[in-house]
Amino acid sequence: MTNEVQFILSLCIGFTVIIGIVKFKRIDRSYYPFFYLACISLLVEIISYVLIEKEMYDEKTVMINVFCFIEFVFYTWLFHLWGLFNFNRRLFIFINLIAFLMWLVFSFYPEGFTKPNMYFRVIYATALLFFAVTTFNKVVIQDRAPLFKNPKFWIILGIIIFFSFYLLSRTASLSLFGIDTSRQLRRGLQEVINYSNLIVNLMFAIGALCIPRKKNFTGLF
Amino acid sequence: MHTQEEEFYRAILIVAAVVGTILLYFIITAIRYHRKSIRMHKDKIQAEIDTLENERRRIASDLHDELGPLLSAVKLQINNIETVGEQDQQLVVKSSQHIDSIIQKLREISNNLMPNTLLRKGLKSGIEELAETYKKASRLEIKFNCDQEIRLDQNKEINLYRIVQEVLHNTIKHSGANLLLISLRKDDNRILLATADNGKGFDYFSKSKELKGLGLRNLQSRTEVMGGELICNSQPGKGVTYIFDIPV
Repeated sequence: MTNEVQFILSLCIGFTVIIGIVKFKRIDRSYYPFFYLACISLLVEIISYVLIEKEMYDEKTVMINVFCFIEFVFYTWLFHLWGLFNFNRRLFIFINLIAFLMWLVFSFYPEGFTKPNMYFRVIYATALLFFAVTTFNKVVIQDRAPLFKNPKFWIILGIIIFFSFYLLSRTASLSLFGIDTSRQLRRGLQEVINYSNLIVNLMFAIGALCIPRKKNFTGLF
Repeated sequence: MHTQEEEFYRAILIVAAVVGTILLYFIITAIRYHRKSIRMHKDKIQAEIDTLENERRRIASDLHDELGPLLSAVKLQINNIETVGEQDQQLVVKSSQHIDSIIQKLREISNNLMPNTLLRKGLKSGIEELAETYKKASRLEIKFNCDQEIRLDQNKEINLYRIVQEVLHNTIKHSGANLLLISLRKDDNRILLATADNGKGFDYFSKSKELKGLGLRNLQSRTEVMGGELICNSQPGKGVTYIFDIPV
């Protein structure tokens, strides 16, 4: 898969962004973090491509390192608004503080800030997988609406699928740490993420389409 | 890629395929069990509501058809007693009055259990009568607005009537409101029942989680059984608005 093809496929997140822009004012606020993150992701994909084209690999790595933390914050915010931490704001902030400390530590250890923070990526993907599975179970038990029409179902499923493959690819990369590997192998591992990313972006778009309109109360008074 | 790398990459792909299959199986089973759970839940609520309504109907009919005539006969017999003195006469009159109030009370209970007006004249008249009864019994001002005559299948009418009854009960008992507005409208393929009070309001999510919130769960269950949607808009200090959107 060439860089161009990879870039075009990654732009699929644009569908979600477009749907988000169209529906933004008419949907429930609890979906806002999802749309914010979709916009940030699209921006990151575009900047990544530009940086690769200009062969600024260190800058790209730094940006992805920062994005990992931002992604974690937005997903936990989304889950928090969906009631994962029983709407406990302190717990939500505490979890993010812990994540920030881990991000700081693993961004400078074992390598510098210009190298991928692999340990943090494995940890945050695992945490998000746990959060997503718990929220998924809540949705399946509590929501009585058909699952196919439930936006939370599509979004959470997307998160579970993406981070499962992400975790697989990242742990494989981690096991190769320190070993001199070929460019093809690294690209091959990246492709696993790219294909899952494509499927997940389409699932996010379906989820965004399913988000119901906010109920307007004209009031009887 | 070297041979060793190729083998490693192949192993990763196999693991990815296995993970993908497990995820697919997980999704399919989750959807199947969700559907099954919804069906079972709905059947269970329907059975509970049916049992409750049948029992109410039976008790109402027993009270009205058996105890009522029996008490009337007793009253007739008491009135026919030939009294000797003034004291006996007063006793007979008093007993007759007591029997009258018992008969009246029985009618009220029977009507409360299974309202005749609802069964004979339909939902609009049923709710009108209910609102009048509650208006007399409390200081709550109730305004009911319905422009059309609405006839639905009896189960739906009873469920909607019970919902209004529950809302009235909750408003009087918990809200501290002095005004309740009820609106009933039928569109092409749905019934819209809306209620709004000017009381102290509550936090819907925390209340619906409480086990003792039976009234709220009753509203949810009856709406669910009719395949409808319950929307509650309430904040502490800002009253409660319920909207029941029921497909016909």
